[in-house]
Amino acid sequence: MKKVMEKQGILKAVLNTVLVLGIGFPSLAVAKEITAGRTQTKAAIQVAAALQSETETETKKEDLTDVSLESLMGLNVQVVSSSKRAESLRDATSAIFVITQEEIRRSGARSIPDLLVMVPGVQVARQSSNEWAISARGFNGQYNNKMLVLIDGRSVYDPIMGGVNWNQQDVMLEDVDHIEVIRGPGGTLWGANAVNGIVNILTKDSKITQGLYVTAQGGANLYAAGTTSIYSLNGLGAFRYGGKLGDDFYYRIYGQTENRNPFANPKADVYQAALNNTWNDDWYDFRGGFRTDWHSDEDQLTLEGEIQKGYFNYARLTTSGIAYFDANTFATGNDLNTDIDQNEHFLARWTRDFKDDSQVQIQGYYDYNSLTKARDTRNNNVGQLDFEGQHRFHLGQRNEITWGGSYRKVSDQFLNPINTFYDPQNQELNILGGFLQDKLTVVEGKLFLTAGAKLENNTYTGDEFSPSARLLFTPDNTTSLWAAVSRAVRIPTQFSETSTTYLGGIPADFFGPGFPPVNTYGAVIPNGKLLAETLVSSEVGFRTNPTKETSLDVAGFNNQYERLIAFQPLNGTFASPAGGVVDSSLYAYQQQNTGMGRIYGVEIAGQWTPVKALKLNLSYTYQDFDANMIAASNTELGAPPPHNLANGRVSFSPIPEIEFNTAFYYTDKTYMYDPNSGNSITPDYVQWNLGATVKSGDHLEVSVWGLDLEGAHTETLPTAFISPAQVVPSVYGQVTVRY
Amino acid sequence: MKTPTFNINKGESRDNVNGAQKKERFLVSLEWAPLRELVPSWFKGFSFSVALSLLSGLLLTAIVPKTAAGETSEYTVKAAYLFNFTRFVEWPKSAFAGAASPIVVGVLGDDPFGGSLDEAVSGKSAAGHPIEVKRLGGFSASTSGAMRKCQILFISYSEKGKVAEILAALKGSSTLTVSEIEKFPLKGGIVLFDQEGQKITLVVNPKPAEKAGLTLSSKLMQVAKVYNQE
Repeated sequence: MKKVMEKQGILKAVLNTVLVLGIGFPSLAVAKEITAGRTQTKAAIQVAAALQSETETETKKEDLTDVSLESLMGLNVQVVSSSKRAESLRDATSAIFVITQEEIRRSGARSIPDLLVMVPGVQVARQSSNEWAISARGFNGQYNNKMLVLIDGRSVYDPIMGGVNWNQQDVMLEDVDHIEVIRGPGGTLWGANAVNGIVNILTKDSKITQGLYVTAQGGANLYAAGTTSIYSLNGLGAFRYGGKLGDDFYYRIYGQTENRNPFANPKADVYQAALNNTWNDDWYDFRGGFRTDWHSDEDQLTLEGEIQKGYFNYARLTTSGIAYFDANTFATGNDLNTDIDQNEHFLARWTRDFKDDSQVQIQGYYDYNSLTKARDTRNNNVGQLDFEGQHRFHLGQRNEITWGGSYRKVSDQFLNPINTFYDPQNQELNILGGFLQDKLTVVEGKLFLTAGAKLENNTYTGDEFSPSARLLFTPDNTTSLWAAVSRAVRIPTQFSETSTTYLGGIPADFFGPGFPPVNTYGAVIPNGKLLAETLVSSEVGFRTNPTKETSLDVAGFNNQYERLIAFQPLNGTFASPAGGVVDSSLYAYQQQNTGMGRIYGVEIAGQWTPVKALKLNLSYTYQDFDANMIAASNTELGAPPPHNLANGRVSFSPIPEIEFNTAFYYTDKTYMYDPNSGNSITPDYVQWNLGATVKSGDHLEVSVWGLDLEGAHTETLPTAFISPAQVVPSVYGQVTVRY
Repeated sequence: MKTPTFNINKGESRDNVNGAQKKERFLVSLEWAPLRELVPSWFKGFSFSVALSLLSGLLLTAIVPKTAAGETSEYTVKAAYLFNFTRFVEWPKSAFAGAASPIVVGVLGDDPFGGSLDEAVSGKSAAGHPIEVKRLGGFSASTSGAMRKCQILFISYSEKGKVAEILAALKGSSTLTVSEIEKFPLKGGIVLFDQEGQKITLVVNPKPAEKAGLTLSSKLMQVAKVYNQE
């Protein structure tokens, strides 16, 4: 009988989802009718009904107190504590935001970079369907080199170009436990390149991912009228299986395969017809891996490994003036290519906790990444070996000391160059560091001072020092105030230190036999004398949750940058590794420590849960910068921040089985002041997502999403080097089964 | 556009693009009139979307009958465990002021239970003691008196950094400490709510229970994982 009732419930739920989706797509006549006011007159009655239904479900809750202990242990529960854990941030002395598994589900995002748009103060701009420019507090650009990204403690910051190849970091979202996003510097703990932010992606312990999980996603991009033919379908399939290898020894294995459609072509060009008005930026990615966790009373040993391969199509419009060319064949290169990347990594981490609340952690990993990227170098192979150890203990009643050391060796090969030559072809980069930090209790339970520093030595710039001091005041259990001053550094990339990039030229014998040989190029030449960029950041923050239903988080910052690395024009001629000369009468640029500037702003995030079924999140960020920043700004550096960012998210779950989510994300105009390629503006834009999820018991979940429903738009700056694609609306559906 | 072939190389890719018409494509035409045409400004777009989702939700609530049974929530189960402990743990007489004085279940730090703890114990009693719930707020020197009067103390995750201090403040009392903070037994706590897959399991440390004068029933020791370190 119960089963029959459940079935009826599901049927009705499905029926209603269809109805609701009808409303979600207002091009349908029925939706227009509904919004015309007929429903609005009934709104008051429905509010009453909703409130009544809430109290009904409350009282109908099953009574488990007569259930035996054994049965309690056998019950499958909907786990929410991991989110609660991640949210207990009251004592953090930095501008931290945590994306929980619940928020991942509520966002409708299909990959990690798309998730980050919900974080206050973070700008996520999609350059194409497989390229993201993500930044916090300024410097937005595809190779934003001032943000450090870690996945389970493994750095995915690219030592060659700086920044993160987000398209390669398509972690299975179901496996993510939570993502910590810190705006502001974290050099004292994380070292170099943790300048404007740290993104820490943590996957679940395999102890809690037991059983089978299978999901399938299918969707389509909705192109504008006039697009002659359409790559209509895309999809994702993923599975995971978790089991037990022995007492307290758990594992999971997983695999994921995914393809995504191109965005639209924003303007007419020579390739438009061939590409049927779409952009040639569709992609395909697959990965498989494992994680094991062994627990004892004191220890946890984690092993994880993954192999991944991705194909990312890339289209570049040939814009005026600069034509890329092939320095080997001297033929003008075809600008349309496929980037192919392949990654393997293996990580081991051991943690021991002691009775006195002290902890030791040792971690090592190996990461190999091979990228075939026709625009820069034909082939980069990067191997990274990393060891880290840290120890935390209490010294007396008032001091909590954390200290540790780290060593990373990067060895890479640059093969088959086309227009970017790395000299030498085989390189090594070593980074050795140590840090010490003390959290001092000044007034028991009320006032804490955390001070520390990291000293790091790297191959390019030698010793770098990242100190910080952070003060926390917790007057009561609901409010905390913090202030911090810190210094952070960004070390030069291998690209800026060792590469020559050809921008065009006249090869020998170009004018045919009988003419004198000319072998002259325009190029960006390397600079082996670069210094690290530095940031001194002052921050203040305020956090409160006056009631259980509300919380507010405010952070203000003032960032002063020195020695920012930017392209500078040169005069004269320079030797070229491919033979011939680089002549400034064509082009000659070099990256130099010429920039400086100030960025300041305030980020506000609030949450309100007026009734259990409804959750609202709002965030607003204002940022500004000084004239030095404008002078320093160029393509390599990234854009200054837009003045205003805002987002609002609404989650409504009238009954536990059904959830509606909608969110809007507003990004103000972004200006690029580039002395070399001219100023440009990205107009402001809104992203609007809407979705519905229906759950049936523990085992089945169905969701339907519309993304970017506001309409097609461009999100990044068009420059000489970047021709952004046009983001188009899309829809997808997903079915998930768990056993 | 690309059916997953595993041997894409540069040449093939160029051919593909230049001869794009050769590519296999799905010719489903999905055209989209942007919403902008209906809603002129971004602000309207936002309020429109909020209004739409609220309306659709409300509509749904009005229509869907309340038959489907909810998935068991984690804290309903944890509350049921806490209630069960009143039956499977025996306190020394000295832990109570009188024969009819209550068993106090304290919640230290943020209350994750919502109403489910009150629901689990309200109107119930164990061995003649009525059961009461008390919310103590976050740990501070002033809460330790109230903490020591609890028969069961649930230490919330918000108190993670203060476990050692909390347990020190409870020394000599007959309080059953329960928490979901990792490595709680190692630090001298008595019961840990652990998680395996989607199940909530128990880890019990008998040594501090003994010191507190508590008798844990064999039933409890059977189902729980026993922590045996000093």
